[in-house]
Amino acid sequence: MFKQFFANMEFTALPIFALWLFIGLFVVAAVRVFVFKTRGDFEAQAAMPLTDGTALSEREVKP
Amino acid sequence: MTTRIERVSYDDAIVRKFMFASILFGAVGLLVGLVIACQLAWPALNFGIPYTTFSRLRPLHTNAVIFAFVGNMMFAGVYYSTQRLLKVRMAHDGLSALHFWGWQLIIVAAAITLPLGITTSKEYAELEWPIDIAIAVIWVVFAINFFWTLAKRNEKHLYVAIWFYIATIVTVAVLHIVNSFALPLSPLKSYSAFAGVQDALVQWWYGHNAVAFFLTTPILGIMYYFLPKAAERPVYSYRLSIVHFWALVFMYIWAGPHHLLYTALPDWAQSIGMLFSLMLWAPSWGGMLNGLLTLRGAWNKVREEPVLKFFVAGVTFYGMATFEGPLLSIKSVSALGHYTDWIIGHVHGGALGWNGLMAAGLFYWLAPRLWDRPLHSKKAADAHFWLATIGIVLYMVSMWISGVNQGLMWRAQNPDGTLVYPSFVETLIAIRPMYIVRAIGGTLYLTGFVVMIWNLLKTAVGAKPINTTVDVTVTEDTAEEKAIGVGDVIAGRPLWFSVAAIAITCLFFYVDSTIAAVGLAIAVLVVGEVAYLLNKRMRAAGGASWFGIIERRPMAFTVLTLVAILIGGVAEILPIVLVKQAVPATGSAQKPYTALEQQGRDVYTREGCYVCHSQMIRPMVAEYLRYGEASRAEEFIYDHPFQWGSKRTGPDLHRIGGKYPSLWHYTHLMDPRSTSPGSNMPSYGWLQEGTIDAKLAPKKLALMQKLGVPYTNADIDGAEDSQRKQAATIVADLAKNNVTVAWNSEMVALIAYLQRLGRDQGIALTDDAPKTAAVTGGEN
Repeated sequence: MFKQFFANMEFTALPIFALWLFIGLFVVAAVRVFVFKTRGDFEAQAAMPLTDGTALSEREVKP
Repeated sequence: MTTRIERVSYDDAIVRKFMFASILFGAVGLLVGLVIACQLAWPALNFGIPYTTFSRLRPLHTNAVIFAFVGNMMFAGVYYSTQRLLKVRMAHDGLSALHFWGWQLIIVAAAITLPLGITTSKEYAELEWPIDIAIAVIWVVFAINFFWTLAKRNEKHLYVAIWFYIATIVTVAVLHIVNSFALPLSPLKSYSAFAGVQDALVQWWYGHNAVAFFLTTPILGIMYYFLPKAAERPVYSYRLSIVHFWALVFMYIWAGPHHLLYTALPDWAQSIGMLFSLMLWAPSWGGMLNGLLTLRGAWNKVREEPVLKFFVAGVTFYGMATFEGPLLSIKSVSALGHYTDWIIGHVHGGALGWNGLMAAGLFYWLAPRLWDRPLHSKKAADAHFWLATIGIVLYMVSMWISGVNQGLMWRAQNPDGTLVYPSFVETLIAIRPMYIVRAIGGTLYLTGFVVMIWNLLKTAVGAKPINTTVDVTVTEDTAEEKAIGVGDVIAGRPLWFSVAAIAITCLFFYVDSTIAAVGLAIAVLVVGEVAYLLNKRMRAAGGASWFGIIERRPMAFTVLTLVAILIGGVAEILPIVLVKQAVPATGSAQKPYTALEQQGRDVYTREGCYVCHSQMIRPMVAEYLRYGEASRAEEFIYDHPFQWGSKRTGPDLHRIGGKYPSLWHYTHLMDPRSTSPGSNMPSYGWLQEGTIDAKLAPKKLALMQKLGVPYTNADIDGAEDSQRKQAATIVADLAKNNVTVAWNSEMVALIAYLQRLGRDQGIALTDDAPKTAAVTGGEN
């Protein structure tokens, strides 16, 4: 099938086909990321750098 | 679910050590870079000394910046953020120390060996085999310490930064080990196990992915941790970071062949390299936008906070470099830009802009926290920022102009089909002003770096270094969570749906009817839909997503990452290495180098001639007119290692053999400007005094025989005598012009090699040498 696919396609159409294929996948990925997001799914993970603990003072550390 | 409070004391001393080393070696790397930039504008600065010659210092510069400056900076960022993200101290202080001191020892070894000419000649992998082994050992130490820490962690979730660190550790190990396959001749000399096309592909698979997985992925991890910290905002889209990570690690590994466009590499591999490079635009910019959009609502802080200034500019330069890289990978653009300074401008946009500015942002953020004292001067940090930014702009713009200018001059043709600029030196003289502007840009950048050193020293000196102690909340796994095992990862529906979709897509290539093809397309859609519906039902029932399962399992995550990076590497490299047809042989026309030529080749690699001269004529009219017939894959089958080069500061040398008499080469090597006025090549006068080790010739040929080069035992036994005989013809030829050199001088060996280049057969070097160029005023 792929032989027919390529044989029946104009040479200049190949990069256009590849471009549309890429754009299609890109749009699908972008829609998946930005539209179908479930709120709260990753909020805790996203905040991890901000919740890695507050440094204790020397007085607090010393027994 | 149960929780407990645990007190953790982080190892910040190791962070301070790596930070100090990065700054120290960064200054050295930048200084050497400035010196070699000046050498290109004013060749007298080579001083006629082997150890300070451009071709030996350039690898020192690249290694110092990549592995010493960025490497140490990366380790500082990794050690700091990993402990905090995993809420645990590094697993073993001894391993951390071993990692630090081992890495510094490797850097010192590089700093000693590279100026001495001890090199494999493979770009960014020049270090010889004992150092390569040391790198592998120290990298394993780092990996053990890192994965051990993962095993001991108090935080179940692995934040996105940790994924990037995992990808870095795994991939760099694979790249380094494969690209370093070599047979040792002596403790300080080895030959690549691969030859010609295979060696080129493996090298640029490594070279490109050294940029990807040493200069990019760990810094992205650092970006994902430190940018939200500095902005006091969570990352813009965590979901985007997931797509960013997997798309980047999967695609990056395929892009290596874009360094070999229009070379003798099979066309399919070149096209794949170009295609994946273009696709890389998407994840790269996804990451960049994720970084910049993290600052939404906090852009006012950028005006006040130097750390954010550096991070924002660094991420922006990342965006610029990752736009330019795919652009340069388009074959028609590469035809113009490859071998020119455009590439140099591109890589420095990445190195100075992305890596350098991110490093500065990191250090300005770390110093006050590691020494518990505010940054000494924000004004000085601002001054550093502007000096660095203006320096980078001057550097990049001058190199863009230089590269495009030279690329156009190389290809310019008169109406009658001849070259407008037949002399290579003409094109070099035209870009000299740009070399001076580049040196000015580099000076500004280095000045800014010195300001940073002063500022950080003023912050740290007299302050008390601290090791942060925190109380962290540790959440214990529930019984259900504990029950999730490797089986759940393997049995994950997304995994099987993906495999099914890929399998159905592959079937498309084997069916030959339209109905069947449409049926397969529908099958893919059905599989996707079913996957979506099942996932929706499972999530509604409160089940964990498959990704939610693997992102808590470092081993599963590491294995999947390894699979993602291996697919591209295996798909590209195995066919080229294993399939004989990849390199068509032309039978008896291919003769291995003679013993003397091999000795000369070793001098060529030692001096780093490949740094400025390519040995790869591309199939283009202008290249044919300037250099001769296009290079073919079969011409390099005995080249261990390949010497195709990546930059033409001087002309291509693949068909230099026989173009000039030996006297021209002698004169040119002794004083390049006497034969080529305007050339910026250093003189290599020491080659006349230096001697080859004639007794090593049989050993070298025997080693090559082991690598598959068809030397007979008679060739090996007679190697010593044969080199003397061949050298005698060159010595006699030079003597006719009153030049006296010893038969075993490095000069004679190098001339023998140069005269052989581009010829299928070994040549007699006396009477039949074409007199196509005068000794002085050579054309190229």
